[in-house]
Amino acid sequence: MVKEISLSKVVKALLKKIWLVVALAVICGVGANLYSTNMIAPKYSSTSMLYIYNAGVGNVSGQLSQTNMVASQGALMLYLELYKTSTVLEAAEREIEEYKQGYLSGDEAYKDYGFLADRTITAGQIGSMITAYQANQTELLYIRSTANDPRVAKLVTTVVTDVLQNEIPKMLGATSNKVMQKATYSTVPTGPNVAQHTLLGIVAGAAFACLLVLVTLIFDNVIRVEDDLYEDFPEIPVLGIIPEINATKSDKRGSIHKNNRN
Amino acid sequence: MVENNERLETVIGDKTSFAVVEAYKSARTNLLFSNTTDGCNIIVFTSSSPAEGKTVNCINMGIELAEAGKKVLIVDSDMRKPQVARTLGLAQAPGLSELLSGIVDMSNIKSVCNKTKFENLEVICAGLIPPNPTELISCDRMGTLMSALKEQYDYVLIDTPPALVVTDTLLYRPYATGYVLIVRANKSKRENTAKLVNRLKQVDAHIIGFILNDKKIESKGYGYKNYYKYEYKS
Repeated sequence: MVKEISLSKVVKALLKKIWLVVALAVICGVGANLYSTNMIAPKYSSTSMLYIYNAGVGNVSGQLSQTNMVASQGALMLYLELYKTSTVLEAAEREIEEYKQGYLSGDEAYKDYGFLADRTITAGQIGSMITAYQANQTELLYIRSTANDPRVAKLVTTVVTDVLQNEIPKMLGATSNKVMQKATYSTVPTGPNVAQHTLLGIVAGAAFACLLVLVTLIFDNVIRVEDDLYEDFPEIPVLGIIPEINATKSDKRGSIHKNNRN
Repeated sequence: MVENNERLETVIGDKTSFAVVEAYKSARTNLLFSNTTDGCNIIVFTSSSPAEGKTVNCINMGIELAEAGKKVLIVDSDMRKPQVARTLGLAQAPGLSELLSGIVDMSNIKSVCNKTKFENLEVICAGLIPPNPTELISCDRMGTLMSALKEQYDYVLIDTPPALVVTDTLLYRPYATGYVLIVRANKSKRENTAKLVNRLKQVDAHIIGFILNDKKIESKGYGYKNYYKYEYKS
């Protein structure tokens, strides 16, 4: 039987079972922490920055005009739309394959790309690794890739930046760009966010415990205390509330009563 | 008289804890001040389901009423699964079934009344288990019996079977001053208790109140530690 329950009853039930909430929160938090630390592979990111500008529109040498700025913004928007097109990604894939073949052929210029020897990075994979975003309403475009290997992350960022730098102007005509920052290389993982996962685990554990308590309360059909009787049958008095006889042990104090009995 | 030690532990006595004794005294006081008659009060103890504590509470309330100076008779009306005789270590027969079937004459009611170690408290046990308990309870001899008992006792407490299982409890409606419903904490279901109340209301029975039985003690001392400040000195 599902019955109405008051907020105060819910709060009392939660406080009564606070140990369950804390226990589940701790267990889930620890579990999330361990999972995040040991089961999720660390991710590394590499970022480059391109400055996009439209040099052919209203340009007075060395000075930026309003028209120029508007046109540059428009060009940047185009970059954001085009960076994940198959044209760009396939071009990036080909370039990475060149690196690989260069290493395999023993070319000294590619000696640092040994990590490509036993892997193939497809256009689809490149697409899933990279993101591009505008910086603060400026004409600066960040290209960022994330991978399990920091070397792969840097290579993909470098290659995609190259493609954007060289291919998009050819496609669009008047736009130009300039690399303001080459692809970074970092051995400090950017993911997983262990602290965030742990916190999520704690919250999820606590929420699950609260849900359990709530469901138990809603579907609890048993009379437990006198308040349940008052609630269901307000017109019928409770004559007596007798505690568990086995739980109340007889002791010396019982002798007080004995002295009072006839 | 064979004593069943395990069941006797549930009957209040010198070894019963202060908390339980005081709880029963409180229930007794509430019963005494409830809307009962000046003459003999015939009080039916029942519950919705088996094993909720009807017999124990009927007996303990009888003990407390007797201690208050009332002349009390407990009648074990559960002629299917009688418990009172076993609990108090009394002879099961002759008892109610013999009275109602005519085996024991109504003029000889005292012969089936068992004295107990509690002053002012007597018991009519269920008797031998008959094949037709409901018919016995609804027969005319029950009216004669009740009339006779009213003249001799201040309180007649009737221990009956669970009301949602058999209809015996409702058959006492014409004789009963009121009904006391036993509810067992953490066992009795709300819907069953509601059904019981509705069933009694349908026959216009007067419900005196609930006794909540077997409640878990959560607060330390159940408040009774403070009573030691008021210890009586002999």
